[in-house]
Order: sequence, then C-alpha cells, then structure tokens
Amino acid sequence: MSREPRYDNRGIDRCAVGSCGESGDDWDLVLLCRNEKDRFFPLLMKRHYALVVNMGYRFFSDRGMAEDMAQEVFLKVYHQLDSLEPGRQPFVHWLCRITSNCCRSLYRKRSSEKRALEAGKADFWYDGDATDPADRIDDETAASVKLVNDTLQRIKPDERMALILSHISGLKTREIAPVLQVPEYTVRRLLRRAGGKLRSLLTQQNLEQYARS
Amino acid sequence: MRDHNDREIERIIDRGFAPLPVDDTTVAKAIDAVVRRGKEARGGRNLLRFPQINLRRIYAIAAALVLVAGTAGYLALQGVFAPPEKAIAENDGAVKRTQRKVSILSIASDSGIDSTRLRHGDDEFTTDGESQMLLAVGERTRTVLFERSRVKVDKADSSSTVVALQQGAIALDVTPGGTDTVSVITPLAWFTQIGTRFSVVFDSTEGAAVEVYRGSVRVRRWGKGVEAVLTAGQAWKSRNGTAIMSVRRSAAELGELERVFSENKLERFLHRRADPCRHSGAIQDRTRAPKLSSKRYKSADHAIVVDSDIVHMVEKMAQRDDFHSLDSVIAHLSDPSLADTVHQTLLAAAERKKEMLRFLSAKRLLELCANGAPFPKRRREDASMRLCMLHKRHIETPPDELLKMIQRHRKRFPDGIFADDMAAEEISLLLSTGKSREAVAGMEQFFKHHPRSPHDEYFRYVYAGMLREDLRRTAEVLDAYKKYIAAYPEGKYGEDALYRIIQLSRSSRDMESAARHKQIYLRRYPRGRWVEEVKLIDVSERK
Repeated sequence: MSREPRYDNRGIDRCAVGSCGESGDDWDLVLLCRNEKDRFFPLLMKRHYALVVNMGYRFFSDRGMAEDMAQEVFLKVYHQLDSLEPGRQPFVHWLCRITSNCCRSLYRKRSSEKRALEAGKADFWYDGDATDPADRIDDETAASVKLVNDTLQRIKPDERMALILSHISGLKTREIAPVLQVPEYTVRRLLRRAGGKLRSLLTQQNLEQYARS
Repeated sequence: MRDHNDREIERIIDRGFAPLPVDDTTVAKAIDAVVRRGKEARGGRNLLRFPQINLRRIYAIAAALVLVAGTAGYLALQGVFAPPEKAIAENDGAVKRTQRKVSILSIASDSGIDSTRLRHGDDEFTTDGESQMLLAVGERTRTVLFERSRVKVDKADSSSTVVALQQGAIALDVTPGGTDTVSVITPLAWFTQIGTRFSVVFDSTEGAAVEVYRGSVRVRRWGKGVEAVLTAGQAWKSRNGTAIMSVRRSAAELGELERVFSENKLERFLHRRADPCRHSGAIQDRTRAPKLSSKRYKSADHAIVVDSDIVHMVEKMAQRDDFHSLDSVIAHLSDPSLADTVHQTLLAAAERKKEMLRFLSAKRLLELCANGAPFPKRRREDASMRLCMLHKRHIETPPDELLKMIQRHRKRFPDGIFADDMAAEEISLLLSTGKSREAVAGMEQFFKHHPRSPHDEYFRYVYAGMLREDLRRTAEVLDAYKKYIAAYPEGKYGEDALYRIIQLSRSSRDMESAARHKQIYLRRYPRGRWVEEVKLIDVSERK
C-alpha cells in the first residue's frame, strides 16, 4: 500500500507546533505564546524574522541597522503579545505596521548629516561569500539588489516604505493603508510616485552605463 | 529600444526586491537577544522606582497624607467602616473590620465561560452546571467550587477566614502553620478547620455534610456547641446527628485534589466524589457504570436507542473529563460494533480537546482508547500512535521517555498498519538524540522489514551518509550509495548519491565505475549543483 510519507526530507515531522505547523495560523501561535512564551515565541520570531530584516534592509540599505531594527520590532511584539486581539487582522499586517513605525522612528533619529553621507551607499547583504550554498545568491541578483537599494535611498521615506510593503511583504493597496495609517488613495498616490521615481532613476542609470560602455 | 529598456528595468526591479535569505545562526542570535531583553525589561518593571528627592514634592505628599488620615478618622467616627451584620467573628462574636481578599486562580469550563460571569461583586461566586472554579481566599486557603455551587466570602483577613456555602459543594485546602482560623458556614452547621483539607456539601433537602481528607475539622451546629471533631478519613452528615462515618478513598482520587492544590491550577473538571449527604454507613463511589447488560442492547427493538444513548453518554463524559466513569463504561462494553463507535467518539473528543489546547485531557482520552480491552486492535494501535504524537508535539516529554513509549508501542503492535511510521519515528528520535549506532541498526532492520515503505528512500540515503561520517565504515558506504541508486534511480537524493559514488570510486581506484557514474551524472543532471566539479574530475586509468 503506497502512502505519502508524513515526514519531510529530514525524517522529522515538520509540524512542530501542533495544529499550527508551518502553514498554520499565526494567531494560534500567538495564543500559545501567551501561555508558554519562552517555548513558542522563538518559533514565531523565526517564522517572520527574515521578512522584517528584509524590509529594514531595503529601507536603510544597511544590514546592521536592519538587524537592530528587527530586534526592536520583535521586542515590541514580545511585550505586546498578551494584549493583542487575535483575528482582527492578519498577524503579518500588524507586524508590518510595527516594522514600518520602527523604521520611520529610527530614520528620524539619524541625523540629517549622516543621512547625506550615507545617501547612495548601499551596504551589501554579505560581507563575503555566504558559507551555506543555499544562502548564496547569483551575481545578477546581487547586482540588481545593490542597484535597487542605491536608488531607493533617493526616494522619500514614506514612498520608500509603501514600495517595500508592496514588493517585499506582498500587501495590496487596501492592506497597506492601515499599516501606514493613511487612506487608500494616499497609498495609491505614494506607490505611483515611488514606482515612477524608481523607474526613472533606474532608466537614467542604465542609460549612463550604456553610454559609458 | 524603449520596450527593451522597460523590460530590462522591470527585470531589475523584480530581482532587486527578491527576498534575501537569513542564515540560521543570525536568527538564533537575534532570538536569544530579544528573549533576554524581554525578560530583563519585565523584571525591571517590577522594581520600585525611587522618585527624585524634591522638597516641594515631599511637602505635597505629607499634606495629602494628613488630609487623608483626617478624613478617614472623621469617617471612622461616623461609623462608615462598621462591618456588615452578617460577618461572623470566630473568637468572641464581636464585629470586626473585614477585608476582602479573594481571587480566582483558575476556571475549568467547556462552555468557555469567563470569570466575570461567575463573580458577583467582590465576594460572591457562582458556578453553573458546566464550570468549576479554583479560588484563593485569604492568606492560606484555596477552595474548589464544584458545579452548581454558590459561595460568599464573608471574611478573609489575617485573623480569620469565613466562607459561607449557600448551595452545592466546595473543597478547601488550608496551608498549615497560620494563626488565623478558617471556617465554612452553612445554614445548618458550621465547620472550623484545624490545619487541613476537607470538603463541605450543602443541599436544602439533604442537609449539610463534611468529609475530611487531611488534618481535623470541628463541627458545630447552630446554637448547640461542638457536635464532633473529625479527623482524616471521616465524614459527618447533619441528618445523622453526632454519628461519624468512616470513608475510604483511593490514592488516585486524593491525588487529583492534591494536584489541583499544589499546582494552583484547575485545568479540567474534578470528578465530584461521593456526596456524603446521599449515603449512609460506608461511603460508596457515587459513579456507577450504566447497566450495559447484553440483554438490554441485544434487543432488536431498542438496539439503536441504547447504542445512541451510550454513545451520547460517552460524549458527555468525555466533555466533562469524567475519566473514571469512562473507564467503567469501556470495561463493560461487549458489542464489537458499539465498542468501535465509542472508540471513534472518544478519538473525536480527544481531537477537540487538542484544538482547545487541553493536552492533558486529550492524553487521558487517548490512553483510554489505547488501553481499552474491548476495542479492536487496529483502533488501539491508532490511538496509541496518536498518543505518541501528542507526547512528541504538545506535551514536553523528554526524548528518552518518548523513545520508550514508541518502543512499547512497537512491541504491542509489531505488524500494525503504522508499523513503518513508528519505526521511522524511533529512528528519527535516535538520530536527533545522537545515538548513531542504534539509529543505524534500526535502519538496517527497517530495510529488512519495510522495503516498500515511503520512508525507505530517505533512510537509505541517510544510512549511507551516516556510515560515511559517523561510523567510518567506508568500505560499506559505496555499496550503500549504489544500492540507493539502484532502488531509486530518479530519487530525490540521486544527484548527491551519484556525486558521492564518483568520489568514492575514484578514491578506491575503481576508475571504471567512476567513469560510468560520471557519464550517468552528466546525462541526468546537466545543470546540477556539482556539474562543473564532476566535469573536471579525472577518471582516466593511471598506469
């Protein structure tokens, strides 16, 4: 009798958290965290850490800052878990909102002088080669990431965040509105402007490169 | 040109926003940092903060204190703080100032009721037919309020604690060593503990009753003085006058109450034991198994009615966590089809408990299903397997215990439907606990007994890897990889296995085999991970 194996390629059942599993609802995990925070909070954080760090990296173009920001975000999540109302909105939306607010407040704290110095200088993701082959990204992608990050630093923070939410988190316009706490038409306007600026700056850079070559 | 440029820009944007991976080490470090900072911040909030010394602030605080003290004194003179008439003082009958110190520790309810519906005011608590409550009263008293009960805490301060039982039953645990007295009053009698654990029942038709589990209790009737002094294992009923009954309780029954009071948690329904009011002489267990006589449910006219009655009853018992009664019902089942239906009902109840995060209740139900003799063997195997998975995923059972549990299951059901799954679980557990030799021996047995299992492919691949890395049995490694390729030519790990075969064949100077497998690799995986390396590998014969 043939049957689908219940195990993944490591022979260990992937469903580590009861009915939650890796495809289960985040709110189930939040409810579990309320009773046993030390046991289940690391799982919640592991699930969403990459998303938050990616958002921060695109916003600040600095991996160190992105990781610091991610720590602050999850610290807030840690303290606010008990007071959350599950089910009102997807957990990821709430997390994106905290991330967006954190990014903006950290951005404001940085001095304008420092911002000017760092404008256009994207810190790349890896200092050297990644040790795990699965973590390597091809050169073409790496170049595109660097280029897009450089360009994003020239866009206003609000517009930048709207773009990041749309591309990295995959949120729709009506979902971005409560995250940024602005009306939906404002989100559309931000996205239109940011997208237009990004394309025009990239086109300009492309043409310059073409002219040089 | 323009279209090409636009497409190029879109491609750059798509790749530029590609999610970048984060390695596990970074994530683990971040998790540790957040959890540590979170715990530190929580501890810091509990610390007192001393305000800065400021003379103006000190004067303002002093003035406020004088004002409050003056107002309180004036109000006290006016008699505002006089205690209510119903409060009873244990020692001299004088009315004393009362303090209310009652908190709800835990509620066990299947209807999802919240504490606000069970609490009326500061000191009155009621439970309905589907809930029980654990209260902390005063300084050293915990009280379990059973279903359909009503209590009012008249007094709970450092001198005495008085609980008025108006209806139903309560069980009290009083931590020994204090100087205050703890009393329970009912309309017929009142009971004072002398460092003990006891339960009190009051029913308007049956009267009052008390049973002592530990220590001593003094019983007094209103207006009559001391009626009796009971010690552990004794009970008294108001109907019987001064007669004292002896009670025998099993360790399991007393253990349930002990667990509730020691953990301060009422996770599931406590079975309400024999009610002293309803019995005379030696106390019998109140829970009687329904008469499941063969005559009754073999009757063709009533078979369906009886079956559904029993199944319905089992469902209710499972809902109320009445495991003792369930045990009795299961022991008396004789009809195989009914046993099957009851088993499925209990499994469904266990799944519901799991969804409600009541894992210990789910565990008890699964234990009943796995050990019940009337159940068919395949059903017991299913329940036993679910029990093992529950221990693994939800209850933090240590790996050694879990391993023993799985081995016991395999011994009970060596040829069951889930034999290969449980063998795979055992091997995975051995691998995760670092017991390499046992894991390899287990895998060898697995290949022999379960050649067609879906886990066979994976374990063959892991087996070869373990021989190579953990056990250094290099002579057998090549053979193991070749067997894997022969069994699963298009397998998930075929690319890696072929690559290893090429390397191992070269190192053992079998160039013909290396060359052959190199050709296979290049044909099957033209864009494989190691294609560049494999192309460069020299497999020519050396002379």
